[in-house]
Amino acid sequence: MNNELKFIIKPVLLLTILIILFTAVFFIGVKKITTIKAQINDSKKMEAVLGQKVSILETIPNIILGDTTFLDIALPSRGAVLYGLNQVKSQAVLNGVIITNLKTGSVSPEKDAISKVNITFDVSGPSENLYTFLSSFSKLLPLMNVDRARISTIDSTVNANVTINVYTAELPKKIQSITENAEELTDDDIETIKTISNYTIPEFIEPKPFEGEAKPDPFN
Amino acid sequence: MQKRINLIPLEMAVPARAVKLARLLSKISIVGTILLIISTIYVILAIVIYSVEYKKVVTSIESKKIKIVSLEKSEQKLFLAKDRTEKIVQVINLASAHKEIDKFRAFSDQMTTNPDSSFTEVSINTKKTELSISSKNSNSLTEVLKLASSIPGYKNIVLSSFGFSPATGFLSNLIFNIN
Repeated sequence: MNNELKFIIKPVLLLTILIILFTAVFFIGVKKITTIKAQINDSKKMEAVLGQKVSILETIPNIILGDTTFLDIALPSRGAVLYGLNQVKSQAVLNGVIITNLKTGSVSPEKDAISKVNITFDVSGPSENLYTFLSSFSKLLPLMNVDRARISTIDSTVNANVTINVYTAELPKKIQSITENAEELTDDDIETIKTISNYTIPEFIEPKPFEGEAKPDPFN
Repeated sequence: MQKRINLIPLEMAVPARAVKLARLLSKISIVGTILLIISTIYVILAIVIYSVEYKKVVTSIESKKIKIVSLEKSEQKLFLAKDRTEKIVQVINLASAHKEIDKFRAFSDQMTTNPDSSFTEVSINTKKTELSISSKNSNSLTEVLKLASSIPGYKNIVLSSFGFSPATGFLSNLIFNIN
């Protein structure tokens, strides 16, 4: 019996070692391959996202052409009241009506990140001019609308007390990370941008230096 | 004829079945060794190939990231445009009195054909339009009310007050409710 055992123990040991090695190679190898394959899948997904983002960003200069100041001014983050006052005065001059008692209110939240400021004023002039003046606010930037108007007629002159709302919105505080997908502009977005680009922006006038004679120095 | 003589002592002899088993185990070991070598080579090759593919994908990702960084201005434009257009649409959809002003203007233009009636006061807001109308006679009043009832887009039109004075004629107050 001992001789039998001694005789077969070597082949048995060798086979056992082979089985252990085979199992180790199989499990370790398969685990490593599975891990690398998973990394490749995740990376390919990321590659697809980034590829799509690059192609979206490359089309932007063709979609949003030229100066995009109108987008900033459409809903300014600051100075909406000043823009609004500028527009009220410009449109009044353009339409031949007279503005008096111009007043501004404080900022009040509207919805989401949008707020509004109201501007109240009295306006008088011929009826056609006045109505054209009031209708003009729907096509001006920054975005504004007529909240209410009280109109009365004396002889042929129409007088109105008008309140308009000028809208303002905070700029986004955080831009998305490089690896986040970019949302491309939809057809509706492009249509909105085209519509807004035709609205009238406030006139920015550079004041000219004084050309008259300087006042004499009273101390000299 | 040659005769086989086994000189191994009986007590040291190995049974035939043990010899057969040992030979079988040896053959299995040889096959196992070959399989082990093949599978090890396969695993190593697979790891190398997949690692190369992974490196390629990572390199592609890095180059795309560099490209995106170079398109930073376009990304900012896009981000701003998306943010603003969303909010612009919200603002445009807010209630405004300008449509009511346009309707009133059209009404007022039609009233010019009725010189015996005139508006004394008009109040327009996002929810309603309130008109005070002075009419010298009943015919012009009827014309005004007919015109008023033909204006589309109102939920109802309420005659909130009605009076008569021999000096000025009829004085009526109409409220056009939008909602």
